[in-house]
Amino acid sequence: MTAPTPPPPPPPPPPSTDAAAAAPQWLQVVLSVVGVLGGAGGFATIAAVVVKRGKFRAEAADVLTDTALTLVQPMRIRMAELEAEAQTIREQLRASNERSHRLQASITQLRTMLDRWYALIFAPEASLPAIRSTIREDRRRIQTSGEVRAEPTGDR
Amino acid sequence: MRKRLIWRNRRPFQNAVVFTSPMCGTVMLILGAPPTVAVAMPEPIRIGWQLGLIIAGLIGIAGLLWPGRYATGLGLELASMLMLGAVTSMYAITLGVGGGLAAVTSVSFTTAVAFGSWWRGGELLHDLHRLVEPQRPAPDLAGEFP
Repeated sequence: MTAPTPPPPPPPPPPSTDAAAAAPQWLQVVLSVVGVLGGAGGFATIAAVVVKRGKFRAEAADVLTDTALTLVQPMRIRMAELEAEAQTIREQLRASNERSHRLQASITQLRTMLDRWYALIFAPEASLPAIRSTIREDRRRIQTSGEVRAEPTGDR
Repeated sequence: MRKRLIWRNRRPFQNAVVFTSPMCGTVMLILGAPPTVAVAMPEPIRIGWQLGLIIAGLIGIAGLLWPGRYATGLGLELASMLMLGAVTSMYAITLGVGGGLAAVTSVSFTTAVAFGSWWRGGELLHDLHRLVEPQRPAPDLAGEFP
């Protein structure tokens, strides 16, 4: 759209001659359309606000709360996961504590037995049959209680 | 993050335009329109245009300062923005057609106001849709609060 027109009136955008008469025509149409659309939209909006007053029950505060909940929800889920994890770990800790107590008890028991045997062996009136019978009895007692034997098969 | 909180009256440009437009319309209605407008618009359109300027501004002020329900204020603001967008668009078209190169500045700023009005109108429409849509107070969280 290059119009090489040397004459003084330099406005390039509007077509040159009869546009001066034609432009206001379509301009008026465009203006009327825009104005009518805008005015109608505005008044329609006002009418809608007046009519649908009750439909806007949700106040903006509710929307804010809703948004806040949406933001908080992932954290809530994460927290539940962490709590479950902590629960299982606490359970494991308790089990392993119990196991270590049992082991300690059995060690103490074995130690006392060892001391008793030592004393038995080094007693002045020690005799082989007496020692044998005592040891056999101790061993039978340990096997029946089963406490020491069962330990190494603890969980984990 | 596309979460946006609905907040009212935090728009200085919009406030300024909304407060200015009724004054401008009143002055023009009393003292007569500038020649550009008088040439381009016939009498009824011009009167309607000036009245629209005044009404849009007043409704906008009412919407911004609405003391009651939030949604009503937002709706009034939406109406004002639609009307103001139409009115400023009309003026921008008039200026652009009639003024040529001499009106670049005024056309630019008037177009900016029109564009901003439409933009804000779209935002308000979106916000109002969110206000109307059925409440969903995070259903999977129901009863989980102490």
